[in-house]
Amino acid sequence: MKQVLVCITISAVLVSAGCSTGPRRGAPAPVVRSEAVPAAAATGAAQSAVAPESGVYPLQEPLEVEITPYVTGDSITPGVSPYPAAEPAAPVNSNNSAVVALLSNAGRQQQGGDIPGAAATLERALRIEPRNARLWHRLAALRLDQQQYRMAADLADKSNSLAPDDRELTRANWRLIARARSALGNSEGARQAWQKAQ
Amino acid sequence: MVRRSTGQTKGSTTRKNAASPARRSGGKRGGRAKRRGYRWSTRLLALTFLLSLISGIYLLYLDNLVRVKFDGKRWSVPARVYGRPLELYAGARIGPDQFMEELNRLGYRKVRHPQGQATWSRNNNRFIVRTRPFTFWDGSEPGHYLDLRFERERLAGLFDSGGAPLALVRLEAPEIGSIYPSHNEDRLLVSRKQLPDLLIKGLLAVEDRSFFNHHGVDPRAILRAVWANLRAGGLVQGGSTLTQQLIKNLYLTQERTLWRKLNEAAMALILDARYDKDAILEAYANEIYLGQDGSRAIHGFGLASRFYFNRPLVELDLPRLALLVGMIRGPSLYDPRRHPARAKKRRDQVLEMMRQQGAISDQQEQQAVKSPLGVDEPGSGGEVRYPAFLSLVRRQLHSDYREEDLTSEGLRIFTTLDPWVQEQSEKALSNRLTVLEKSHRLPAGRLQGAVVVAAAGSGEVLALVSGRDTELSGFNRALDAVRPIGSLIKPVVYLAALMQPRRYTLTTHIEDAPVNLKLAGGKQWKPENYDHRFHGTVTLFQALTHSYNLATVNLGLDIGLRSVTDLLVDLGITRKVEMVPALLLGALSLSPLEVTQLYQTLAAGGFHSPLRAIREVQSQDGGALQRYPLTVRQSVDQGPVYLVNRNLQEVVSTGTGRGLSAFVSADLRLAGKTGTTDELRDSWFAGFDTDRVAVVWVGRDDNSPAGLTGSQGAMRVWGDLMRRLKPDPLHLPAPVSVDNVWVDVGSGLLADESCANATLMPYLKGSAPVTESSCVTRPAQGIGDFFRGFFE
Repeated sequence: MKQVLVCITISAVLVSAGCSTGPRRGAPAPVVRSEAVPAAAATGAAQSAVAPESGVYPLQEPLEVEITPYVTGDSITPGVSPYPAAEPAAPVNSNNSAVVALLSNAGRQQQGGDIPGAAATLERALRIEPRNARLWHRLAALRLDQQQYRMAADLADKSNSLAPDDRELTRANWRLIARARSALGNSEGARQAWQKAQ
Repeated sequence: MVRRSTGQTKGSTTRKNAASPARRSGGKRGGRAKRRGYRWSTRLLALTFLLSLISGIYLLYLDNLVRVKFDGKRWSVPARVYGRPLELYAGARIGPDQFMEELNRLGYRKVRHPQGQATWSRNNNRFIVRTRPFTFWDGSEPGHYLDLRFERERLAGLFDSGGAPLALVRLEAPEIGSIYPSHNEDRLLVSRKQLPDLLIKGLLAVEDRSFFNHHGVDPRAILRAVWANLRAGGLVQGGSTLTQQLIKNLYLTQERTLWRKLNEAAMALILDARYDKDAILEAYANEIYLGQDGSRAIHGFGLASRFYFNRPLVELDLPRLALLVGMIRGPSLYDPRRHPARAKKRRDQVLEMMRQQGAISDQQEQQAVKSPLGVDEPGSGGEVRYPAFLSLVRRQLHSDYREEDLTSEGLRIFTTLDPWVQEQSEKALSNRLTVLEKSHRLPAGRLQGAVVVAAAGSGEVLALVSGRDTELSGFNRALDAVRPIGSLIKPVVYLAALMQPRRYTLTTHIEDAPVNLKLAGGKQWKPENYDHRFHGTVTLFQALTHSYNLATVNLGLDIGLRSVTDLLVDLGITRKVEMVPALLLGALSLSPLEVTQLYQTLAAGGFHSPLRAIREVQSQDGGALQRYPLTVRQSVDQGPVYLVNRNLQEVVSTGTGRGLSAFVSADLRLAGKTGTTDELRDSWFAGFDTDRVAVVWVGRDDNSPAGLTGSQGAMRVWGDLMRRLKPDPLHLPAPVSVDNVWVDVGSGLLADESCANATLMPYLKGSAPVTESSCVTRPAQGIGDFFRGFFE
């Protein structure tokens, strides 16, 4: 009799224990990834590799771009960039009030430290005026600030391609490219770019 | 619960008594009986205690069950996918008709005087719109009062209610679909605050009158139901409270057993004791099943409102809310789209009950009864209308997210889809294919096709059409129809040649002469021109313009297959390319999407941007998770690309693409290339305007001959599409590395404007001809100039 009771008790406890769900520990598995430094950075390796088909650039925190900003060279003093520090980006002229509004937004965001927001705002402006060379330049300057040197140089190239006759702008772009190349350790390329900026 | 345990205890006691007589026979009567009585009462007590313990444990278990699910993530919330928001600003290229379509897509209602949110009115070219607020990943756009003036196909002015000009306003992003899990439950969560008062009143009137007074179970309602069912002689009324219904849906199976009923009641009591009524209401409103859309189950009032009325719950009026409440009893029985009469009867019944309970006035009821069901056309309520584009989104998301995150975390995915461009692409394809089948006497319904449109400068995919019947998600031709691209390869061959400016310019002569190659394996390859003729000595410019096969093969063999395959990689092709001579005529199979990538780099002047379908991903709570930023990479020098693009404009003005002038003005100077494969199996056209690159493929799924060349088939779809999109003229900025020079094309010599055959031709610096044609009349500039030019 007792054994039966014990059996019942134990099995009942076991059954209920088995059915119950253990308390959940911790938060649900997060999907959250931090606002990654935009893919652009796509690092040296990803740049030379072929972009994935229909691809989004890889999004894992790319960072740690191999940066050797100051190359020891004949004309370059270690620790000192041969090129003047960043300058204010060339002014954008647009007669589109929407673009003007977005630009001032982007400026505010940049000053407030919201770099991804500023980049997104500039991209929004570029959707409205995809051929505004000075907008491309602004985005290039922003990427340079973010130390995404390769992307900065490519964007400046793009800017140059759209306004070959805007001398002020092309000079600013070449200066930007010189800085980017210098930061990437390409001192010869930087020198050439700097010459084109003169 | 308690009663049940005692009942069981009694039962067991009786059984045990019955089992004892055998023992009773032995031993002394008095003391033993006493002791036995004592023993039995102890046992009874122990048993009662034990059973109470078991039921206690069981209750604890139920309590745990209820809490874990209710406190945790109750539902997996599918990711919602949005198209691009429409940007409104003075000067935007939006016509009034497009704008109206955009408003309808968002479920905005046309009224005489816009008062509430999501309403608009139109007076010729002037619109007044009250927009909905919307939370974008980068901040929220409040609801606006907008006064818009259109002039022809442009938004000429944008003002606020006070008449002050507004610089820029974003309409909300149109929802284009959701990514729901394999069990097919789709829902759109709403909070208690978003539940309209009348919805709650209706719910209580119909389903649970004393919801705010009972403790999870309503004995009076049960009695009432029993009485009603007895009277009617069948099941006409249920006595379940909202709490019980919620328990049933959330935790239990649908079987109808007493045990389940008891569990349901116990859990309802627990739920009611643990949580406040508002939390229970909110859960109920999100759980309830309200219809079916193919394999997708519509759950919750939030999604049902979108699904049936294409607008958020807060914007529903009384009759619509009453309809939703009425549908709870039988979503398919009272489906307002399939059984409108029955649904209306049920809705009116709900309205009557609401009036009886005092939830609405007589007048409100009378007015509501008179109004139509107000259900939106099927196909507008957040259903998957763009399955082809969504599958591209999914593929791109899968490289960054796990499937379960996409289907359960309530992500908001902002894509690049432009619903208007998408619609024009769909119409152009399906209309044009029908016309082609008639005009070419082809069997009806057999032609298929695909269209991809992307923003040239950024690689954003604006539209993707995978076949004639866009509602069907099936074979996605835009992504998966990998077909030989024929002459679409030719610009790559010419680009490879022009990248060697010392050897090739657009006016270099090449031979369009017979080719006879012995291939490895002893086979012969004897390609022919489309017109089966030889055109002799031609310039590169002419050969590409008219798509001469033999000239292209001779050119390609001269520069080497390697330079072509290398260039394909630079242009963004990742597929393995076989290095055979036939490659020069397009023996390379690509999907329409891959071809778009190839031409994107050309259209962007040599700047490669990976095609993207996604801009941002936002988490359920509104935080930005991820951006997919604009990237460019200069993969080919601008100079040679510019030369090829000028040549592609010529294709459209005088070459194989000249038939486009039947669709769009030649003044637009669009650039493009036709492609045709063996026995007319595939008909291709790829081209671009100033901001967009578009690719069309036409053929048959079984790969049998479609009977159309590139210019007879795909080009007409492309032309139809461009006519609808009303593009700006294509403006190609000449890179600094390019000079435009007058030449006599016949002789390939330097000319000037006065020469009869002179044409302005682009050359990479230093590659222009230096020998003057005899027609040049200007005074000689001296021998020095001549030599300077020569040595430059």
